[in-house]
Amino acid sequence: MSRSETPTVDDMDQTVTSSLDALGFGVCRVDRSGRCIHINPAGLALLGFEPEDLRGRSFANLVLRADPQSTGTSDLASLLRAMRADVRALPHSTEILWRRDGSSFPAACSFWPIRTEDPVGGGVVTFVDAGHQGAAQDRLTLQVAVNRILAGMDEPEDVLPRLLSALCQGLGCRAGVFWNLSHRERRLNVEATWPAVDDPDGRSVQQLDGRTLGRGQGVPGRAWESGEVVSQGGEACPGSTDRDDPAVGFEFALAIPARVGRRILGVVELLADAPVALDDDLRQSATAIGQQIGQYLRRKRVEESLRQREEEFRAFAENLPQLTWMADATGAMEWFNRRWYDYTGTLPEDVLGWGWRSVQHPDHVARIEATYRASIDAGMVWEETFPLRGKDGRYRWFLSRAVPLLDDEGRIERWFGTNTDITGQRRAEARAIAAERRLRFALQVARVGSWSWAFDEDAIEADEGFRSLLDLPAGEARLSPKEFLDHIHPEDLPAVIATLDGARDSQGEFDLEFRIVTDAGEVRWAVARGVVERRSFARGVHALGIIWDLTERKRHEEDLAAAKNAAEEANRAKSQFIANMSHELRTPLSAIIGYAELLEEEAEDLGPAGESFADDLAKIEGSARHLLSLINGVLDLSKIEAGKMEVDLETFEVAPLVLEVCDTVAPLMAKKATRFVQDLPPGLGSMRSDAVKIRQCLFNLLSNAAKFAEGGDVTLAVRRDSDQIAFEVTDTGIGMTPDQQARLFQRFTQADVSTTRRFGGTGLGLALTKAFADMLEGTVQVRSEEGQGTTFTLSLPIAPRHSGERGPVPESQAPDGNEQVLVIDDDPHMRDLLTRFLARDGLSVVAVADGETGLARAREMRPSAILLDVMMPRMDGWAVLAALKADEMLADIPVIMISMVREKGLAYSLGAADYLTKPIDWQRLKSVVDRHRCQAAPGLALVVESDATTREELAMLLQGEGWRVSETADAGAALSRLRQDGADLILVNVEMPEVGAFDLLRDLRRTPDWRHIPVIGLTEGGLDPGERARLRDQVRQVVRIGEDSLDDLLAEIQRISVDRASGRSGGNLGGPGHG
Amino acid sequence: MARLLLVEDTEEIWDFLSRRLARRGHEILLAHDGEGGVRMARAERPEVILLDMNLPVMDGWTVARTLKGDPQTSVIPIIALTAHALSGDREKILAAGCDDYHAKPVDFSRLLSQIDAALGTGAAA
Repeated sequence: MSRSETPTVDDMDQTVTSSLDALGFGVCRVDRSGRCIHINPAGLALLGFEPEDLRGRSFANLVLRADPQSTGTSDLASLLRAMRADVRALPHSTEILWRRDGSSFPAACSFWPIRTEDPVGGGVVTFVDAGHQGAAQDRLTLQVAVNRILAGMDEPEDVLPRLLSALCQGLGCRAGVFWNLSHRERRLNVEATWPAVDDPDGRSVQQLDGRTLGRGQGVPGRAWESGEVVSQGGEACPGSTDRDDPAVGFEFALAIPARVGRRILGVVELLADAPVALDDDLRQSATAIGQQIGQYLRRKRVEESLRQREEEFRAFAENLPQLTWMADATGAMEWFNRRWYDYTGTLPEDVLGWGWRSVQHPDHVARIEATYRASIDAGMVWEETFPLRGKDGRYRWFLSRAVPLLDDEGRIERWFGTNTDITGQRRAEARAIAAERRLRFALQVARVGSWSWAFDEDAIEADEGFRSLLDLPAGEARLSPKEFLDHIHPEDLPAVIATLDGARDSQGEFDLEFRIVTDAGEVRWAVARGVVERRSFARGVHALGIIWDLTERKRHEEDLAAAKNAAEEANRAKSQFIANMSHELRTPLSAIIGYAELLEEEAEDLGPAGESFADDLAKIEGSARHLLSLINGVLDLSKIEAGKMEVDLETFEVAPLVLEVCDTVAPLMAKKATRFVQDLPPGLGSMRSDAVKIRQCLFNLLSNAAKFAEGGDVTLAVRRDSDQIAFEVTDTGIGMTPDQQARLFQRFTQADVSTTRRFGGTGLGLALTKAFADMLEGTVQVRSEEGQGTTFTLSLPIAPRHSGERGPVPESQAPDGNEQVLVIDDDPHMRDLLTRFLARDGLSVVAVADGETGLARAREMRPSAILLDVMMPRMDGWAVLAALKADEMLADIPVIMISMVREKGLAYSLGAADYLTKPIDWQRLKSVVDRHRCQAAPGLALVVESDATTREELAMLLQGEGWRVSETADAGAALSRLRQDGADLILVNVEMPEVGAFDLLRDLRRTPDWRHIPVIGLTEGGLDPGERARLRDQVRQVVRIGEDSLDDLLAEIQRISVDRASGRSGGNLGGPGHG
Repeated sequence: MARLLLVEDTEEIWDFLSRRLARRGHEILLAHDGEGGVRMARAERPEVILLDMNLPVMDGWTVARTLKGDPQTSVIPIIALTAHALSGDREKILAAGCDDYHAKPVDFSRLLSQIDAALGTGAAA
């Protein structure tokens, strides 16, 4: 209701107002809201107001201490404030009323409601100045007034002047000062004065601002010292030269200590122009007032300090780096700090009370609320870890805690909570755990132990691998260096210590190989490698290293060396033996042949008499010569095997050489009744070769044919074409089965055992022929049919390509261009299946049953791919894989792991190229093998990611797949890299705004050369569906980054490399115009 | 025909070889060790020396070098007789100063032609 609508005196009966105006005490008519409608002149005189000052103003405002919540409330003010229709009368009430000039006076008041049909309602207040009633009444009134003033909620700066005013008025003083006692400074300081500053009369006290008094100084100082009410006056103040003494210029001073018990909180000083009689009543009442003031001050100080603590706490909570909040005793949220609102993007009304549940992840909210409520109910500290949604819609992980705050009596007053962002920490932890797990696996698989030796602490930290190598009991405790050194072989110890000392001095690397003697007396070889470096966050240096068991390899090495020595020794012995045999056997044979020939000559001289034994002598000579030829054959083979057979190249005419051989074998043919046909066309010309060896070959082939074609035909045909001469020996003998032909050229073998009995011979001839043909860069081939005879063809180049001598032809042939795959699997059935499958695919397959053989074969054949079973006895697939990857020669052969169980992560971390689970999906096997067989370098990949760690991980992943990698943090840098180097694949974080993925994608789309580069978008899971849809058309795939989605990313990268290898992707830079 | 010195320690060999050569009309001087061979060569001045390389007291290599180092005997052709058939023997033997080389067992007719060839050389010298 505005003032213009307030009922005025016009509404009242004029006669009533006239009669009110005639009264000698104050009368005020108030409406039903307690607002003044009319005050009579006596009332106006008492209050010092003009009528218009008061009209429409609440009468309660004129009453001192009118706070309705206060215990010291005035009855009248309360009544007026809360006036209802049935308001009761208040026949007598002592109140303090304000004057217009700010002073107050005690008044005896009454209130009378008007219960007629008067539209104004309300009632009449009467008031009389009670200040001039008796002294006792005065003091009582004063105490009531003081009580009311002090009982409110007002602050001291408001209360103290009013208090001083009331006291001065009540005790007839002219001015008042409140001295606050600073216990810290031990001084009394002026805190409030009355009259108010703007009062012209207040000049004398106004100048007191900033004044202080010591203990016992002036009247207030003495009141402080004595704790009693002190007065001084009746004459000029003694010691009034003290400029700080406000009593200067006053006739009388009264100091009332404000105290609580014995504790003085301040002093009220009242000053008057005339002495006030300080009788016992006054003293008592002043003392009581002092105590009231003391109580008030203490309460205010406690409140103040509480308020300050609260403010400090809020400021502290506000400034914590975490999200912070406060809840009441029931757990309902009352306050969140700025960071909370900044992070969540919420408004207080969204989250106060229980609204905070809206920013919780749906999967977690029920659990969180349950544990939170449980903690509230139990009054226990609450702790939880959960994701909170940020204003960008992405969730981050927080560690949240809430602690109860207790009041003075130990009851829970409220809860204070914090949310600490641990997303980065969690990620780092996950990475660290994964890395540590990988490392542990790798160490375990590779059977490598790790250790560190803090030199200044004289302790070695060692893992299981280390302990088991030294045969020490498993355990966590540190080892003493002595324990370690005591296990080193005494002969190796000085070198170990010297090397470690050296590394320690230079803080460098060390590489040790030494023997370990276990407590059981077993000697093992070990390799320890590592580095000595300064310890982080600690003094001194320590050695960090790995250690592994070399015993097996050492043993192998020793065995190998021994075997090599033995073989060399045996070979030397054989050479010696051959040299000896050549002498020892030939000498007696020389004698046999020589005497036989001598006797033959002599028998001839005897004429007919000698004929009887001439034949026998010829047989002795023939046998001796046969024996000689056998010995020569063995020697020749030995020479070939020892690599000592040399090719003696010369240029000679072919025909004479052939004829010479024919002459030699003619007697043999005649003896076997074999018809010998020679087919030598003219113009055979000359050749450059080893004539002795060709002669021997032809002799072997012809004498062989003569033996088998007994009574039949033997034909020698010689043909020359552009670069070869072919010698063809055909017989009409018994022929050979294909099986016999296959074994024909093997040493010491004949077509079958019965042949030996029937035809004699050692089977050396053909083996030598074959060996010589090889040495002369020619071939010897056989064509035969059982019962139809045999044809041997010796083809030799007219001039050998390799001029000069040649070493022996190696026994085993290096694999030809045909691609080979090595299968390592202990299950014979599996080996068979894999071999057949891969063979059908045109691959040549070598299958072995265990890891060690597999490694050996891998080194021999360098296969283009290895299929490796995980579960194998002795050396399992992981160990084989680790060994393959550790061998420089083998590391780049793609290894495909095959296992019953899924352990893809481990496989990839150990370097496997792919992973298949049993039972084998043959289609997949084919595609996997095909992919890894023709592993072309996939190309250049560009990684665009703002987080350095993630970038590095991606780069490693790509490099593991054979990609070259270029890394950039944002779109701008990516574009300049693209212009410079191009790219065959782009991985870009599409979520981090600082990367600017969408700009990059736009530029890629606009540039013809770049349009077809495959792009993989990476998210951390915070992409909204809209963005996702937008991306779908622009990138090949959106993949989440994380441990568990690694496979997806890897699979996609591999698909891209396969596409590239098979040319399906047009992603190459500079490819012909892509529009 | 010709005076031949045969230096050979194996009895069977010098026996049949000397008898067969004698049958062909050669005069045979015999020595059974290296030193004897050198002595005999110096004393008797044979036209050709057949020298076994594997001899007691002084081996054939030393004999060959000694004789070839002595101007009085250096012109006498030496045919080495050896059981060694390993590669490089021929070169080693010629390097030791021998004029020709015959691998055992003896191919008598070939040996005769080698002696004839040596006599021709020697005669020319």
